[in-house]
Amino acid sequence: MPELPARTRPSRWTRSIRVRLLIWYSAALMFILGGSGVALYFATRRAEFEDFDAQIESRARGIAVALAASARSAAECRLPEELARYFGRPKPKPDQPHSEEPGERPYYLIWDSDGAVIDASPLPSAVPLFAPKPPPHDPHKLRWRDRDIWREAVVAGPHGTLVLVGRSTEGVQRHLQHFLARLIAIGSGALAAALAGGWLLTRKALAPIAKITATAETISLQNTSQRIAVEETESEFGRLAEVLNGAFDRLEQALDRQVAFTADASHELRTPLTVLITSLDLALRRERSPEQYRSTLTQCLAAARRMEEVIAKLLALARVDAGLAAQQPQTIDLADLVREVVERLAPLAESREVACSTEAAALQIHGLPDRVSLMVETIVENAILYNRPGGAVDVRLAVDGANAVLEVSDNGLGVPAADQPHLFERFYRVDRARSRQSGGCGLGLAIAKGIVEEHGGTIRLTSEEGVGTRVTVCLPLAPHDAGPVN
Amino acid sequence: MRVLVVEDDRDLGKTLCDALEEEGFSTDWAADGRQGLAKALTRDYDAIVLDVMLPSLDGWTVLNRLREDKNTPVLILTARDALTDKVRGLNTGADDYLTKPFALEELFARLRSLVRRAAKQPAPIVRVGDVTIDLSACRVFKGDAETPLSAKEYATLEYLIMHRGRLVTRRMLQDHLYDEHDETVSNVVEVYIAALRKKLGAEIIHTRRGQGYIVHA
Repeated sequence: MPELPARTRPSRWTRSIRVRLLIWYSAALMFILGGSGVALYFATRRAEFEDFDAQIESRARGIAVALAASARSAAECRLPEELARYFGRPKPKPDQPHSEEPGERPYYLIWDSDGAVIDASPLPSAVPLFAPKPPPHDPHKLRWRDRDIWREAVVAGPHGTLVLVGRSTEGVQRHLQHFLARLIAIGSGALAAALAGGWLLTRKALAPIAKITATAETISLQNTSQRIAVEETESEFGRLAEVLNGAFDRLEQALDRQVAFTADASHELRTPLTVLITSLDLALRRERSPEQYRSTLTQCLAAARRMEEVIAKLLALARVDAGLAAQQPQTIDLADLVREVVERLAPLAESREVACSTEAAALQIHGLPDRVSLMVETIVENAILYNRPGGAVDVRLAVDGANAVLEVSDNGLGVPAADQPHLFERFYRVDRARSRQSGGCGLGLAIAKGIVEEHGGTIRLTSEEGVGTRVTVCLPLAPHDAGPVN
Repeated sequence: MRVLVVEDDRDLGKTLCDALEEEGFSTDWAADGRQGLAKALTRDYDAIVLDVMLPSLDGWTVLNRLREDKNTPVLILTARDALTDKVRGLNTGADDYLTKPFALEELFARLRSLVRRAAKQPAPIVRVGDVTIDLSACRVFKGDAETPLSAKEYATLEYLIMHRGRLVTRRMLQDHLYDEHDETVSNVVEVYIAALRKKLGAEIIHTRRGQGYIVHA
């Protein structure tokens, strides 16, 4: 097989079914793993943040509740020491709240109704603090605020105060990052393991293909008898191997037929050529009498005629093999054509003392006149040649449904039953010595069959040895002629 | 030398026989395998020219059946030149192989060589006394001078030389030198022997009275 230029064909890797399978397989796997990883990550993230929010909220509400219980005025709204410690040590100077960072601990801030800070834990300094809008007066409502990495909840405290509790989300983020890293690691590990498994699996699954390829590679013109060993007939590969073996069988048969045909054709040409060469060789070895020269020349002419006939038949066969494309089919008056052919063969029939009778109904078919004429001539000629003196050939043309039926029957020599199935094979002859005298080379019926089939018809031969032969040709009528003719 | 030509093509068979006879062979022709085998089995031919593609019995079958009984040299003649056919021919017991078409000279030369080998006389040049016989060129010398012989005279001498040191009966000579259609009169052998003695000297061919002739080795 000729190699394509490298740039027009896909690279070797993407052509491999195994690689393609793996690519699809891993794409699907990545989709599933990635999809579930993302879903898992976001679910976890949401849960973490809900947890985080709940903590902040409960603290803010806790402070508000504690203040409501202990403070009698807005100015007293300060966290008791033990609670404040929980948020980190409260600053002695609440007007300088940014001197110490809360880190990742939660922090709190209490404003009075004028927006002045009453109490606070150490606050993050990175983002300026400002008094939030008071949440709606419903004590259960709270307002969320995000400043950079800090998340804060604001609730309404007693005496018009606002209580804010915030905390850095850094811890949660870090936690989520670790979780994501672990997810990716586990996912990649699973993917790698699955790919390795897939690689082994595809190798096992595709091993029969490698075997089939190896066997098919050894099959060549020189070695057509090799076949793929079919082990598992039920599997897909077993079927493939069977199908391939079937194709190889047909190829081998076609090749054998071709070889036999070529050998036969060469034999048919070489025999008269040998007569020609040998006769001339002999004649030229010394001086001869004019009679001897004449006899040699007659022999040579006969041999040359035989070669001409073989070549003409081979050409006719080659044309039939080549199909209809060369010519334009046309409507043929088959009755006229049959009568013409019989007339043309009349001298031959006379010389063989064979009587020909024709009975032709007017009908038309669609086809190539030259070829149909050759077909009819071949069949009628055979009927005359394989006859005996005093014999008869009966040519009958009739309509049968949508078909034209041509029947050529003779009461001649007939064909032995054993030979009948082979009569349409190329170069098949019932008796070579007999047909040699009659001038046949075993191609006539093969050509006739080729022509009939090319015209969409069928040809059949029935014969009884010593009684006679009948050849029946069915050809479809030309479209407008279909149906019984008046 | 008597050669059987088994060839189904009438023209070719006849031409081959004519050509071989001009060369001093005597010939029989068989038109199909069955006839060819029957002839090959009933007579002792010096060589058989056998076509492969024959009606009734093909060449291979004829060769196989013949080899069960006889060692007559066989030259296969065929229009097929495929190597497998050649190998098959030689394996079946053919002694030589010629592909159609061929030159008559080559056919003659191969047949002569086959006959010489079969007669255990592979050297093409034989000397008897002062007579030299070139079996491949079909020429005879007495001393240094070439002696022209007629085809039948040469064929008679050739047969005796091939069977040098052995007794050759008149019957053998008749069988191998004259074909089945010849109306041979019984003294034709004596006529040729006499002619040979006259041309080459009387001492070359010895007569065993009532038995036949012998050329001493």
